[in-house]
Amino acid sequence: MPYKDPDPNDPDVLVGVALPAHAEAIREMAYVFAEEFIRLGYDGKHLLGLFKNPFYAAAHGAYRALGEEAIESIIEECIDAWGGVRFVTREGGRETEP
Amino acid sequence: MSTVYNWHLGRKMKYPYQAAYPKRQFAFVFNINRCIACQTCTMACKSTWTFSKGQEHMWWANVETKPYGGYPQFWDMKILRLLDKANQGKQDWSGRVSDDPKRPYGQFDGKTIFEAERMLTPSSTRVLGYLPTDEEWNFPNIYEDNPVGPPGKRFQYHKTGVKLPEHKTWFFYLARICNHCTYPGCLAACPRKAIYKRPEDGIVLVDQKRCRGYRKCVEACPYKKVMYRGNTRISEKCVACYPRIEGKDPESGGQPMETRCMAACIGQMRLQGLVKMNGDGTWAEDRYNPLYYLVHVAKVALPLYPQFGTEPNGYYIPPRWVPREYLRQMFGPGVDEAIERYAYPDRELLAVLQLFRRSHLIIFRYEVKEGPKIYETTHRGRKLTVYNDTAIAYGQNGKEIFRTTVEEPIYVRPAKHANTI
Repeated sequence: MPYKDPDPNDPDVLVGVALPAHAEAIREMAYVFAEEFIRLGYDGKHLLGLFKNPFYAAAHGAYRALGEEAIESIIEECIDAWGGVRFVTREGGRETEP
Repeated sequence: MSTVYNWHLGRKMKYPYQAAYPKRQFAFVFNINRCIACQTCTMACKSTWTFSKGQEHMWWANVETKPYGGYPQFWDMKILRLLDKANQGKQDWSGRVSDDPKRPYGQFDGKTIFEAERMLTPSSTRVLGYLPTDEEWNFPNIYEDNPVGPPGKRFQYHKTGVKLPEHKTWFFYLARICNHCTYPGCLAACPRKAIYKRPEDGIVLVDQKRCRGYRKCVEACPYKKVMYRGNTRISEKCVACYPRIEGKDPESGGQPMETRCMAACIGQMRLQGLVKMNGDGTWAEDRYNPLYYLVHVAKVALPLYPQFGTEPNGYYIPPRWVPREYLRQMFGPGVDEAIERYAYPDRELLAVLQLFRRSHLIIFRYEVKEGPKIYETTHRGRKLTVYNDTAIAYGQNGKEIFRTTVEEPIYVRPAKHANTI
């Protein structure tokens, strides 16, 4: 553990500090994760699992802030756009999953 | 002090040594949009290079949460504050983002860590910097994803587990290693000339026999990627896994191989390369080198804190969801164009993005073979067309390493409907 407790008056320690951002920042973050991971080959079920897992704090933060329904709808929308492709890599004549 | 040309800044700047450039430069692109901070890179590096006694606090590769975290804590805020103090309110950029490879981001009119004369004390100091405290080194990631719990309840585990307090705002993960800068602050500051940049690949190393542990490099590196080892009393830093770069790893077949942190990335957000250099320190035109393409043609990858003046060779595709003012401070003026291009990638960019982390060998050239259109759709109000293009990657020896293509998914009919056709 640290030698001392964080000092709430220390400007470097962002304890409970809300930072200015446009209201859509978290939704945009959820869209980015959904698009990226669908392109990487995730399906809807696995992607929702990633959002639900508290270990992935950014994705999970979006899940908690927007709710499961909104996340599912984002995932669905991204699957409609990017889910129609499957990137396949062939290394030395051998096919490998992305 | 000599004068050198820094193309990130679009101008000449002061540097303690004369310019000297390698034939090729170790460089990398990290795609922040894909990083979920799984820390696999961090552990790959730790278990390879810094697992010994005296290296406990060393994380040559780390992933930190921005804006809340940093390793060492507050590293970027502290150096930005020092620079602002040296040149109050004048750390600005002018000009425009352009296709000119000598000044792609316009011009930085403020002061770099080598130019803040007023702040350099004593007079023998060559670089503006500071020495982090032991505490700042010792707790990577502390309070980053979760702010502290209720005050006065130290050493108590939270009873409700996942219901730990959260930062209710945007954040992103910044993966970092040594940038193997073109004008390294660590090298400039070393009074023993123990730090050198290899002429063959631009990797910056500490000569362990010359180093006497004065820690001037630790103080000077604005990215804080040189670390002091107490039990040997010398400094150490990321070595860019140079045996792998040299093709000496038995797995590499004699070909240059990516570093451990790159090869371990499960999010496939890293691409590493060795770029050709011109005699004046700019990147030689190498249109089909994926790094050259991402930095100079598509311009989606930007240097980390270019205003420090070290010309870092680590580039980042900025996160799409973060307020632009914050990103402009971190990656310079090219942020808006980079995000616009990345959010709606064209055919070539989409193909090049498929090259990330598909092989452990370093890609020296790529080729895109255009295929037929697969489908068209609209996504978030924009038309999206997907083609069955093939991206082919070639190694240093000119041989194909791999090829990535797009295939429509195959659906397997469930067993209960197998005979219903």
